[in-house]
Amino acid sequence: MAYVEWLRAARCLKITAIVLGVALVLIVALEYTFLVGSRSSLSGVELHTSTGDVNARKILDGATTTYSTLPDGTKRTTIVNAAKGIRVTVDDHGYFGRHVEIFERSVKGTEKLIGIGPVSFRRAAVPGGSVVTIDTNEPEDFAYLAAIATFVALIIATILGAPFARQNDGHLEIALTSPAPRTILGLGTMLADFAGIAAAWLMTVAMLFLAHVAQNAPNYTYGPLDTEVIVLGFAGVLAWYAMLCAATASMRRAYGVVLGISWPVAALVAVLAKADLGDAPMAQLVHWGATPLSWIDPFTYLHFGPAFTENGRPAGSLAVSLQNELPALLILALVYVTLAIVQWRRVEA
Amino acid sequence: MSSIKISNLRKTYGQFAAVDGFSLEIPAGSVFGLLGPNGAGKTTVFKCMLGLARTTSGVVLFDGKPLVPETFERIAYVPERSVLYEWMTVAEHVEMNRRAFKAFDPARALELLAQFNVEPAKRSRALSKGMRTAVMVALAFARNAPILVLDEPTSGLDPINQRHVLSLIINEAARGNSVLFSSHQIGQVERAAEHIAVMDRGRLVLEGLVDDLKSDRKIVEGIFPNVTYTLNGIANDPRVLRADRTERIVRLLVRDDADNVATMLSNAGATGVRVVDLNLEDIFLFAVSPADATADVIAKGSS
Amino acid sequence: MPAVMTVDPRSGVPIYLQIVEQVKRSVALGILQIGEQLPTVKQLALDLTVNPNTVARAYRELEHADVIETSPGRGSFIRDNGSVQSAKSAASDVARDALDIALREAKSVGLARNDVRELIDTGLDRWFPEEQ
Repeated sequence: MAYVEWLRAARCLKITAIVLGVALVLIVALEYTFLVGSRSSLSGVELHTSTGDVNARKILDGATTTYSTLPDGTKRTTIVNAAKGIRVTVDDHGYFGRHVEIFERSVKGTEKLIGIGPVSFRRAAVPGGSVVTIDTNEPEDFAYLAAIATFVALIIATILGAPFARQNDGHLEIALTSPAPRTILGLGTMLADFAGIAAAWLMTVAMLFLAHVAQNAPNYTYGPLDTEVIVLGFAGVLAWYAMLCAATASMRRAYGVVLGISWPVAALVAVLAKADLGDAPMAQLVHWGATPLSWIDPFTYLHFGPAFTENGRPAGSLAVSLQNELPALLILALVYVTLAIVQWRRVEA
Repeated sequence: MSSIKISNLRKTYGQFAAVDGFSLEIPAGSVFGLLGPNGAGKTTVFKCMLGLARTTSGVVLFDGKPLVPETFERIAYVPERSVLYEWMTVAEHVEMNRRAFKAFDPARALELLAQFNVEPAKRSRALSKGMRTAVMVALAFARNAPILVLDEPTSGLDPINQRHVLSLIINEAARGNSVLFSSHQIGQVERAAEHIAVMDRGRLVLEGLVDDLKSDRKIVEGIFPNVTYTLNGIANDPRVLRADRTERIVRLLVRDDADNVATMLSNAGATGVRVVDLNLEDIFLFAVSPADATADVIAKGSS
Repeated sequence: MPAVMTVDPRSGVPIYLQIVEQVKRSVALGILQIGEQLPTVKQLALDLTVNPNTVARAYRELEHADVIETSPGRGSFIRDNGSVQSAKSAASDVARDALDIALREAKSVGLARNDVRELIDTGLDRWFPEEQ
């Protein structure tokens, strides 16, 4: 029966691989079209500064452009617009990214730091104006890849999430006349699915890595925080998968409905328990009802937040809190696995 | 030691007793046919026996021991309806069996599939009902199991393949394995089984060796010259299992000694008295059907 | 052994008896010679598609009736028991059994002796015309 489940998981992985492959092609195409463009022009800057603070047309109109090569081989494009008091320097490191500095005289923009994946945008005040610094291949926290992969893994977990219900729907005679005890069969089934989910996680990371590497040199950082993100992510996916198994272990037909509403319901419960809904009695009742449900909802514990440095500034990293969340998820996973197996042992053909 | 011993099996669904005190013993190395009308409870017996449904009460022993998961190494089962995974190929089902059972012989499975004209590369959903039965049969017989439990193993099969399944059953019997199978095809049961049991409304109504049942049971038939006659208590004779009369014709279902009963009937004034052999279908129909609607059954105690 | 044996499971006669009768008849008619080997129980069971124990029972009956003898490891052979009927008397047995059934039927449908005599004469005319 683990073999059957593994075949199912493998089929799912095949489809996942195709979807990820198509996504990869799309991402690379989009990157090439919008974010890179011609390496020496400013056509990408406008997208980088989508806040509208820096306007490429405004910069180029009436500016003089000079090209030079730095001692280390970097191609530098310098654009000076004396009339508007703007100076732009674009250092093109080729595969290793671009570094753009835009100095605007007497513009007092607000201090800002925005990062999207490997691209960072910073505005800082300097004497006489402000400088916007754009880097297209900043070090990227591996945790971002892990978080996206966890999301995909949750989807795969949902698709694979009702193995017992599928057995119950007309195939119990095979499972129940096997020389292996039902408990072992059940655990083997869940293990096969989880291996498939883990494989999907890895495939996603690989796809994101390839998408990055197709355009820019790999520039990932990995530290203890990232390990925590991975660990919590897997614990969360395991708890989620186990929950779905437990919810559908006694069903025969309608398991698709349960899988379908699992996300909206779980998300709603997590939100309602945390949100401040006001003092109205109805709101209190909803909060009071949602809170215990949120304790058994894996989504409640799966929050990835920004990490902060000691002085409170964002450290540009993704972090999780493991202290309560990890044990809670592991306990939930254990409880749900047990519930699933106990139910499945009682099913009649 | 019997291969299978069922004692007082009872399975109720709420108020309804699908199986009501059913007992049966399958001797080792025998072929046992289970007959019964639709809804008699045959499939329920199989399911309870194999732990697929929880029994309400009763004991089932295999080679003298209760059923545990390991016992399934020695039992091969063909269910009544297709349990194949629609999205898997036949070859994948073979592989699944190979991994699940130690004594499974994949080469034999492929050989049997070829005999039934099933292509291993086909997905189950592309197979007709009969082919699905053929696949389940092939997988079961490739198990080399000493006990085979087959629930309607010929359903949906064309006559050639039906005969083929019978040959497989007979082959297993020749190898000394035990086969318990249910079928609506009484001719098949007559050929392959040496023991039969008849089930009706959850109960066992008849059991015995096919040959003995056919030699023992006969119909004694006679015609009386007019409608008023007495049978002088022949109907109460212990050898007479049942007596039906339609106007002037009397039919007695007799166990043993049919000739003597025939003489008694002649002496009572009947003419054209004859003894008629019964085949298994007749025996079965008598066991499960109420008396002929147009006849008055002569109640025991009146003549 | 010539594969001329067939069994009819739908007949009221138990299969093992059918086999016994057919073997006896074959011996009487010379289809099976003395010393000829019968198929193994398993082989005959598969050929006829009947239960092997049925065949085994038939062979036991035949052995009991001294028609065959079985040596373990060698097989079953038609034996010369000195009381094998001649072909003609065996044929008479077959005909007599058939006639018996016919007469019983005739009686059960209410024919009188003379009616039956007439029927027999008509039949003789039809089947044995040259022996008037």
